[in-house]
Amino acid sequence: MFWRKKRPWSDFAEEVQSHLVHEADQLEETGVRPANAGTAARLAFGNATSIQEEVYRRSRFWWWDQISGDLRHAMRSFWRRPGFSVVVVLTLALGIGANSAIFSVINAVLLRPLPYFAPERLAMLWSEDSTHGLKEGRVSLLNFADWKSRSHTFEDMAVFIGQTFLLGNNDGPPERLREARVPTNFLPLLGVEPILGRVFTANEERRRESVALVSYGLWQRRFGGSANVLGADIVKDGRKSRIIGVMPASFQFPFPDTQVWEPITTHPYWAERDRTDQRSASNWYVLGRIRAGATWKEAQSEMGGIARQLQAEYPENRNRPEINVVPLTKQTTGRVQLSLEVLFGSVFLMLLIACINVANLLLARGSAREREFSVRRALGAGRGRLAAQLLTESLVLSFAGGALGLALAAAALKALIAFAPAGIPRLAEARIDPQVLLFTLAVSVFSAIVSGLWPALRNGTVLARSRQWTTVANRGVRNILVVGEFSIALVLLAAAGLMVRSFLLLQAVDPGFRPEKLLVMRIDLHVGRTPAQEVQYFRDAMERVRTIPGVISAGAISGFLRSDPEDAVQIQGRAPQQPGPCDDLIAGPFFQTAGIPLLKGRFFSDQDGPNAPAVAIVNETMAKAYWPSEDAIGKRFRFPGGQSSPWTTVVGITGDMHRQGLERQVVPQVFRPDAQQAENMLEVIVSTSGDPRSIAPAVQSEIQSLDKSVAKFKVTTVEQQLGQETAERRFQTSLIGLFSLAALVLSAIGIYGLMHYFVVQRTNEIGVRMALGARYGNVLALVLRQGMLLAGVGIVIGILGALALTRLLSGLLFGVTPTDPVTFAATPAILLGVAVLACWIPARRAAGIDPVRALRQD
Amino acid sequence: MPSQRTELLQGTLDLLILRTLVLGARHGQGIARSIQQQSEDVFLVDHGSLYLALQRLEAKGWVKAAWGISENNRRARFYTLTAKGKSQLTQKTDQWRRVANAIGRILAPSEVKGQAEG
Repeated sequence: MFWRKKRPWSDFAEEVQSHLVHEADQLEETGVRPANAGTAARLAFGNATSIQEEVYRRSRFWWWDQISGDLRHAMRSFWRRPGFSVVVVLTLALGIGANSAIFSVINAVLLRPLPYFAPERLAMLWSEDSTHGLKEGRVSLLNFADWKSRSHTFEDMAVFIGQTFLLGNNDGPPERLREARVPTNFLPLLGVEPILGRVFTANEERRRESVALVSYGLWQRRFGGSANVLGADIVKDGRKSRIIGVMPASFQFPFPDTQVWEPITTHPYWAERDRTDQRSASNWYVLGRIRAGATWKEAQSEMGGIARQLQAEYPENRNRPEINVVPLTKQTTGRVQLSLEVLFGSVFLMLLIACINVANLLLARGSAREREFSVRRALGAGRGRLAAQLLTESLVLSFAGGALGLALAAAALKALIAFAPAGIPRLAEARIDPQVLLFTLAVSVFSAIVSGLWPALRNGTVLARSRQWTTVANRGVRNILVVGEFSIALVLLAAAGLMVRSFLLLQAVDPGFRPEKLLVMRIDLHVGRTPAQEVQYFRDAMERVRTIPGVISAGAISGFLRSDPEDAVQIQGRAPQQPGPCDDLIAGPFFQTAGIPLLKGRFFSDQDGPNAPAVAIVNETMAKAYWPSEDAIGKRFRFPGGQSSPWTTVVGITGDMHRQGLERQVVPQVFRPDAQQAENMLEVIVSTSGDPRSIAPAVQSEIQSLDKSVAKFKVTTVEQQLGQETAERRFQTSLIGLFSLAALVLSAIGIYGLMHYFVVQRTNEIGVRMALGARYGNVLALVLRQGMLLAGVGIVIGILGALALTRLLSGLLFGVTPTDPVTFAATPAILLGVAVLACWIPARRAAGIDPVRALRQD
Repeated sequence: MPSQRTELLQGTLDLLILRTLVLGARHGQGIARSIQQQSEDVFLVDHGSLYLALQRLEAKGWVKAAWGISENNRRARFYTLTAKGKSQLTQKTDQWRRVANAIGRILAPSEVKGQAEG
């Protein structure tokens, strides 16, 4: 038993000795001559050595001795060839480290469960209008009530709404923050409790009391993390709410930056809910939890049935007729899931290439160690024993690579988090944790097997036979490995090529305005001004900015780089249609400032005041969509709904502007003058003659000096904001690009190594050829042909693989198909070029062989 | 006589060792001698396998061993039966008797017949 003290090896030897002596004594007593007695005793004992070995095998962890022996041997042999070991360990560290880094991101973003009770049963429920491409629409209260009462698969549902507010506590600067108004069943539904204080009661909800739960972050930042926060007031938009609880730090729902939760009944829309046209008042979000044991399929099909019932009961409500159930995990990570999976796939392919390179190195080294193995084999080492030795060696290399890789991963992870675009949920939680350690361990073992098993089997099996045979067989394996390497590299390069092409095409999209030298700032006047005062404030602000040297012009719009379509629009003389165009208010010379061309009609003027007829400018897409065969100028439309807007006349048509992101289609757009409908929050844009960033501080202080009560705002450049939109694509493109570049370099090293070996092996043959009259060019061609053949076969296989695999990327591409001919022509060419370069050096060396010396080698 | 010596049946060596140790502590060579003598030189005990068996019995806890001084004043490793070993011996002896009787009954008639013919 293993806890018993091990019997020392010498003890048994001594016992055998004692036996032999006793036996001899006894034989002497029976009359055998002393000289013969010892021999007789030994004869009677049998093969003492084999018995001793047998005892040793049974009594000890002999396999441990063997492994530790192999380990020591491996260490010694690596120590003797540090160059080889460093190359192998670095190659593996690169592959394993990249995998661990990406895995830790995936672990944090995709795998780690959301911090709620049974998060796998939570879902968001959206209203859907598939004919208009609306997948995740908000919901009206009446629809929600019907959904909740009719559903059986959902054990509970809660409605909520978001809002921003101005934090006005005296002990700090005013801050614009986000809050959620939620019902009493909201937190129990999620299974989350405050870490301090309590949730609000049904009574408080019914009486619409101003009680608030605050986030952990806000509590720490503005209330010093003290327990006295309970009962204190938080001043929101000038009104006080009593703080009754603090939520845990991990709780960031429904919005990632939610700072305050208040009863839903305190929301203004809740108060209005009886007055407006309710089934179309889709302002609310819906969260639900399905029963334990229910499936998402059941939930979706049940909600589909309820949607059809409601359609039949309320035929006049054609708005958003379907229901879309989105599991919360998918809702949170759905957008980044594909790109993370693609990254993981690419990084795994890169690891495979790294392993193949290491396998190649080990094979080459195996050939160099033929003598060693032959000797060991002759001394009685079995195949298994030699294979075990080789596997131990690759495990040692892999674990060294894994350990170094982990360090690389930790550094890479820091860089990833720092450079990653905002909006990857829970990325900040990514770290090297036990799961990542386990993963790294598994990947290291995997690498050891992939890179070591082949050489191990090869050497273990073949070595006992002739030397020549081994060399040939070895080269066959190495050829296959290089072919494999090139096929994988091609797949990766093709993927990277498609991503780069998408990125370039996206960069080339004409945004429809001039984003250069443009500043943008969102100014929120908040409540407490009359419409006329609001209009005047922005007019004054733009006037002041214009006086700053370096400023060309200034305009304003209700939302520069984002806009949501209206629910419906009615063109005069037609029935209302859904959905409507986007509707934005502008002030000042907005179009001139942004550089949007006027195609027809006129800009707004001072005459388009509050009492003048309502006017609008539409974009080209709108004009073509609603008045395809007529002139849109002079036509009239209005926005129907609760308080329908007045009939508005189109006075101008402007060029299209990619406002919802360059990747999206341009949607119909209406611009109206803010003089005819004031707005308390506008984005002011300023065009400058020089570097806009150098003028930003002047612009900011000039506007702030106008009215000190206005909350602080941030001034950014439009290019910066557009950059944020493309940042995510830039990020994933550069990562895949980086991985494929690494794959390219590794493949080049791989084929270089093989061709070098090829030349060394055939020095003799090449010498003969040259002696028989082969010229420099012939020898060069011989080597290059061999290399190109391998690369070519690999590339052809790779193209087939890439054609099959790039489909998976289609969700990430822009403007190119997964089988984009340009990419599929360029990628093999690049790879072939790299192969030529890598083979050139050994080919030159071969061609430079001196035939006399080559022939003397043997 | 050497020609009448026979190999031990599988698994009987353990039993014989245990039986030998009932009489008191013995070293390996003593056990081998004892088995050989008691079987009136019928059994050929391969001394090497004896030690493998001893090691096995020791690992099972049926015997324990300690170094001591032998009758001819030499160092030797003495084996003694443990309580566990004793109960094993009883069990194995019963088992062996049953097997031997059964085999004896089966073999007996042909033996008689063979004698009659001869």
